[in-house]
Amino acid sequence: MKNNDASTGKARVLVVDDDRDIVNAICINLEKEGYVPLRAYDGPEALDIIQTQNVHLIILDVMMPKLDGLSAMLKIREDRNIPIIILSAKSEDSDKVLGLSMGADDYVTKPFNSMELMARVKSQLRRYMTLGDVHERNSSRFLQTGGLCFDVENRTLTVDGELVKLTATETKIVELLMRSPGRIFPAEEIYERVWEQPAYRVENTVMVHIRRIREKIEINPKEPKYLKVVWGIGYKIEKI
Amino acid sequence: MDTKSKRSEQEVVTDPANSLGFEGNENETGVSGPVAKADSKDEAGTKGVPTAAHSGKAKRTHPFRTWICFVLGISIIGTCIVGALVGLSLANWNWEELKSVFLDYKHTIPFKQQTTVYFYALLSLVDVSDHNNLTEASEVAEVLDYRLVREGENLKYYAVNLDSGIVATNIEEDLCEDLAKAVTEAHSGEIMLPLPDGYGYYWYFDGSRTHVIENDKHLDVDRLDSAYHNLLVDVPQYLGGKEKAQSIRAVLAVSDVLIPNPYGESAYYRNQQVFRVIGWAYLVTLCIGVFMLGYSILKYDEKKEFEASLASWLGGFWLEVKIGITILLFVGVLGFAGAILLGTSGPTGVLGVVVSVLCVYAALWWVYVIILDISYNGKQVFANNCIAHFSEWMTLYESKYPWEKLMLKRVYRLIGAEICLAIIAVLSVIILIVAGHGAFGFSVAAICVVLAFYLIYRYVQSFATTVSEMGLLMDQIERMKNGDLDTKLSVNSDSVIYDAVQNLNDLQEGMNLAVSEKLKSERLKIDLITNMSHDLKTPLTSIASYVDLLAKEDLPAHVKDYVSILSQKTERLKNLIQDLFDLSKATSNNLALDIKEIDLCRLIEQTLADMEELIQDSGIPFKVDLPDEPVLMKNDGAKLSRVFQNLLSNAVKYSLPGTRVFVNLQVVDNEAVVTIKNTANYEMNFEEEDILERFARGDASRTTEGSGLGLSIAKSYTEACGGKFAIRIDGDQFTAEVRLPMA
Repeated sequence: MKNNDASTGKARVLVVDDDRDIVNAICINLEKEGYVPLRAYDGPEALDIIQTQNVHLIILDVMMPKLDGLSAMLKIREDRNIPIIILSAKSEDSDKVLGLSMGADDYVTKPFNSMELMARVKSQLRRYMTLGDVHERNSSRFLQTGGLCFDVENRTLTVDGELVKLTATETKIVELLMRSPGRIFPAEEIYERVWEQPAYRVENTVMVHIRRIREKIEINPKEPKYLKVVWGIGYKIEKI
Repeated sequence: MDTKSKRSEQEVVTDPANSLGFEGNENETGVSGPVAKADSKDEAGTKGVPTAAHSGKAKRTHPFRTWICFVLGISIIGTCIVGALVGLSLANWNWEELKSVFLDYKHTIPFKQQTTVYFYALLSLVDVSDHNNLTEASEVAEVLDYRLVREGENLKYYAVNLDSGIVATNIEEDLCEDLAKAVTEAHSGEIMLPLPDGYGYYWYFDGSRTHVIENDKHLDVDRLDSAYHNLLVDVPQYLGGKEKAQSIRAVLAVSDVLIPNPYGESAYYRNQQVFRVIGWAYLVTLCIGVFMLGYSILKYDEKKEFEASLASWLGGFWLEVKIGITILLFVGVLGFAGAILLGTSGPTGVLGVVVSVLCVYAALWWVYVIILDISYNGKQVFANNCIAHFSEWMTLYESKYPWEKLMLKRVYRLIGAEICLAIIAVLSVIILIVAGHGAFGFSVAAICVVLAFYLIYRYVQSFATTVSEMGLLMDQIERMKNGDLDTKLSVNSDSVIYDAVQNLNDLQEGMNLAVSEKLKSERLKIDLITNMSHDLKTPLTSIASYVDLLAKEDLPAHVKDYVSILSQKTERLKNLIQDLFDLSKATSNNLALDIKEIDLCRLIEQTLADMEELIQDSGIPFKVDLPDEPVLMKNDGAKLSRVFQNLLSNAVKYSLPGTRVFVNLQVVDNEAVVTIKNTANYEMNFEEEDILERFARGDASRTTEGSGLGLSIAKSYTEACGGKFAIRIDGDQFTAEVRLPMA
């Protein structure tokens, strides 16, 4: 019902940051990508724009005067499901987890790569436009966490609505991990259940596949959002 | 002001709670009302004695005067009562007699005694029958007559010896005839003699009995309590038997009004005057006493005030002084005044009586003062004795010496005292043998032995106390060493190690302060790091964003090169800032650890697998030797993988091509030991410690990428995870060793 043209380039993206130069740079990039940028420089201003205008996505800084990003996000989330990308100078894992658990759809640390940011914007918009509300789609046919969706019948994986091409082994690994998101699988278990052979010194083999999957599903494989290594224990897909 | 003072005086009377009575002061300061009153009461409570400056203003108070009035009033009233009792006892407990001393001299015993003297003299005048020589008789009569004559008009007498016809009289002749007739005619019964006017009181001897007539009324002289009985019973005997007395008639009349005799000294008049003076003096003294007592009762608060200050002054004296004064006073009263009152010895007369009375009063008032002292000062009266002062003085004296000297002095003192006691004991036993004073010598020796043991007991007791306190002190030092900075040690202020304990407590306080300061500065540091990180990252974000935008522009080739350099350096700056932030956090103990049970073996495999591309690209062979068994421990896997990532990437970066990197994991003594060895591709001309300095890099040229913080981060992360980190350099051989405790 919302303008289908949003995905084709007329989506309205609100950029909120107290640093005007950063806002400006992001907006230039957004314009280049064909979006309609909206600017706000603090929390209340952002809330005003959301109330009065049609916004499809918000890029929100955390440390802002008057109303900080996380509080603003909570207010927005009270009645809206617009995708929100958090922008923060805090790079600790705990900060990321906090931001995502409070309702953000993505978390980007400063200083960010503008290509990466645009990729995330695009990905979030695609998911929002094509699939509508992600959280409402829940059926036994789909295994789902965050923007990841595994179709059990067709054995296909979509990331933010976009189909990802996986090899047979990779598909098996993804299915195994997505059946119990959040659970940590040791390399041996993955190997035995995917390859169906006894495992011996398989860390390297499994890691190679994990890295390849990451490169396909993660926007920034070095800072993975979904597929994570749990050091000294195993691997998991984050439950979001 | 007038009404105010009136009101507050009323309060004085009606409020017994204001026992110390500082209301006078209240008026002086010019404030009133309950608040001011509470203040003045408070002042009284703390000071006890009003200051001179206070009482020197507007309305003066005289606490001492009031108290002296109280003392004198009580004393005078007491003396008067005692005097009255003495008088009563002298008057045979006849109240009427005592009353007559003041009201009517003629009813007193002294008057009757005096009259008896005159009466006997009168009888003697006419009873000269024993005397052979008339001349001699007339001389005697003259002497006796003189007594009667010196009373002058106060006395009228008529005596006759019917045998010899001798008449002695001073009554005018016309009256005398009637009287002579009446005397000679009368025999017995109720006789009324014609006497001159103004002489209503007379004694009459009718030859056998003596009558006393007052205003035509016969007094009953036979009553035992009449005082006449003893005086008159012997008259016939005095006259030489009843036979002789038969012929004698005598009348002695006393004037109603006693007047002085210009020609001689009237005993009657003198005595009457003396009695009057004594009576008036007694009354006046009694009045003064009552007035004084009344005054002191009116100024009850002032009296109380003086008593309070007196008590506080007395409180300063030792108990022994008070006991001494008490004993002296009572010995004085018993020995001196008692002797006088009993009449056995000592000074006699008025002076003696006065001194003894004063002694008694001094003793009585001393008792009063002592009771005051006890009621105000309570147990302090007994605590303030010379033994307490001596021990106080000893403590003061001992405190001048350093601790070790003091302890030694105590030992020496004990030994000295024991030796003295032994000598005394031996000497007394020798005296016993030589002089034979058995019991005395033995008891002295026994006392010495008991004293000696008591001294040893006391010494051991104090030694034990000191030792146990020393133990407490050591425990406290131990506790402080172990980091307990809150528990305070307390010992008695008279303890010999009190100063040491105080010093230790001060030290603890100082350490506590230092620790909290340090914690505060750590907190400030982490705040600073967080803020700095944000402040650095914000401009860096702008730079990175605009460099990206620049890179997308259509630029000449050489400008594109510039932009790509900018882009690289921005990336490096970003990594540097992140590393700095991580390192600061780790070294300031602010790293939040996510502790899980991990397999270190697996962790190293994962790290190697994760870095596989980098390793393969470098072409350096890795020799990995890990145990088959899992190496389990509870630790933060992410932090440890960072440690190994840093160490491995260092090894890749600085290894000489063609050499190998050895990664080894062993379990030694419940400790996991990871060593990473490589051969450096440059000469490592630095010390092990230097390389761990922040920003130091093995390669001094600093041209390659990387922050130079890799080793420092590895070290501080290892330590934050409870492990030990070491670097060894042996020629070109570089070894990093990480030791981690196992679960």
